[in-house]
Amino acid sequence: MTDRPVWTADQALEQLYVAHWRALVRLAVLLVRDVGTAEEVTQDAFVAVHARWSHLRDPDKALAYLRQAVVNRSRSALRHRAVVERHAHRRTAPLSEPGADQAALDTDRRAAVLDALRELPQRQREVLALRYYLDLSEAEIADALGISRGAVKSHASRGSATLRTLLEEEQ
Amino acid sequence: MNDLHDLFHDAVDGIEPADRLTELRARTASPERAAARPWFWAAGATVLATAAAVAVVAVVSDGSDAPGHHHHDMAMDPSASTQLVAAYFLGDNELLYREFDEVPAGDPLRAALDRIQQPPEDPDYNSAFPPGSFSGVSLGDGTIRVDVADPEADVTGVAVQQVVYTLQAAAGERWPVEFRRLGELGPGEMVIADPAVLNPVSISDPAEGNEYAGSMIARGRVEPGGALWDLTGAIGGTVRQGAVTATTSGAGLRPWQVTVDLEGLEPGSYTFTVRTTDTSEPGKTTFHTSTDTRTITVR
Repeated sequence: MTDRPVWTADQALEQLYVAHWRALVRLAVLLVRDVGTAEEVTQDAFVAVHARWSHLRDPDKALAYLRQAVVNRSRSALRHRAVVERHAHRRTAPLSEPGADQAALDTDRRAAVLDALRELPQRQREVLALRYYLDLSEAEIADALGISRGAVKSHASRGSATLRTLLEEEQ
Repeated sequence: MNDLHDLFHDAVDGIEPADRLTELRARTASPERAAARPWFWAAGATVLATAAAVAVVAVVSDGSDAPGHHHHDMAMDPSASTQLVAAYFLGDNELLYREFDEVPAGDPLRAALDRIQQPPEDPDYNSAFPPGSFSGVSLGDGTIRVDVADPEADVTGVAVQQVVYTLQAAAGERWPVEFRRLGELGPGEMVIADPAVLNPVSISDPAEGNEYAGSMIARGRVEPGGALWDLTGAIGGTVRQGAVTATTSGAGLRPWQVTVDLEGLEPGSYTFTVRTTDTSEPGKTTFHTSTDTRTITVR
């Protein structure tokens, strides 16, 4: 598509927010689990993309930058949390929206997926989230994480194998 | 490999993040913005500077793990001048449509309830509740409680769903809404959300009257069957069109999103329309369609 929007940084922020806020917060939840932390991480990524808009000037590049920022900041947030948790015993945040129907079952199933993701090494979790939640290609994931396509492939296959095993144990 | 795709979507697609646009605007505010958007930052630069400072503090201290906490605190930032609320209004077809409206900052439940007692932005919709219909709203133990002030207010049918959907969106919880008439003792009438009253297709963005140059991202919700969109100029011709499909699978209303290329269009007013086609009864000569429209300006 030959889009050449003439957005200012403020307009870009609003358009990107409208289009991607939800999905990026949800991506961050897959990475950090806690919804409040995910919102903060994503908000920081939007502030960063606003500051860089004069260099990006393109919605696709801006989205790639946002994804990268969310992944990197999620990683920092987890590092920070690891330090905090050495002092305070781990608490798991509940999911945000208990459904009206068979709420307990649904919540359990969702929590199991997020718990299992948490057990994975960080890179594997990142690769799986980008691949299966955002449906990115191997090349896009390699770009976002700054690793080779071969590494993406191996993280994806090891990560999905471990995740399946963890989820089967759960049942 | 679809199982992981489905599992991940199932795990997080129910999460409705808090709206942080107001905070983002405050954190990224610049002098150009103040000049470009006098209607938005009417309060002036002093308030802006304070908002930015307080918003940063709020972000740092907002790490609570308390259940549901994050739903309610974001719009409470006392220094922000406005917030967005999802407000549901009635269409001519007696179905509900959703608008995202900018309102003064404050308690999100109260702000949302106030919003639907005012006329909607889109002239195609209306509200069943004039100002003064309700006097209060609060969160109880798993319920949203509304005080009905107007003894004539009819809190039944589609109209009452306007209140239910709007307040559930503001609370970030799908809790039942309890309607209590003023002066009445004992429990009020409990109402839950009825999915049948939502219009099969709706536009969340653009908002009515938005201006664009270059391109426009439109999004909303649609039933699994999808819908068609078009952009029509003031003179009457269709200048762009396409199809809208849900971006995730599943039952009920799903999100859709399209990018509309506006390059080469004459500046002026256009109508963006999304419509579903009912093909469920072949042989029927009349089509039942649902539509939602927005007027936009191309610069």
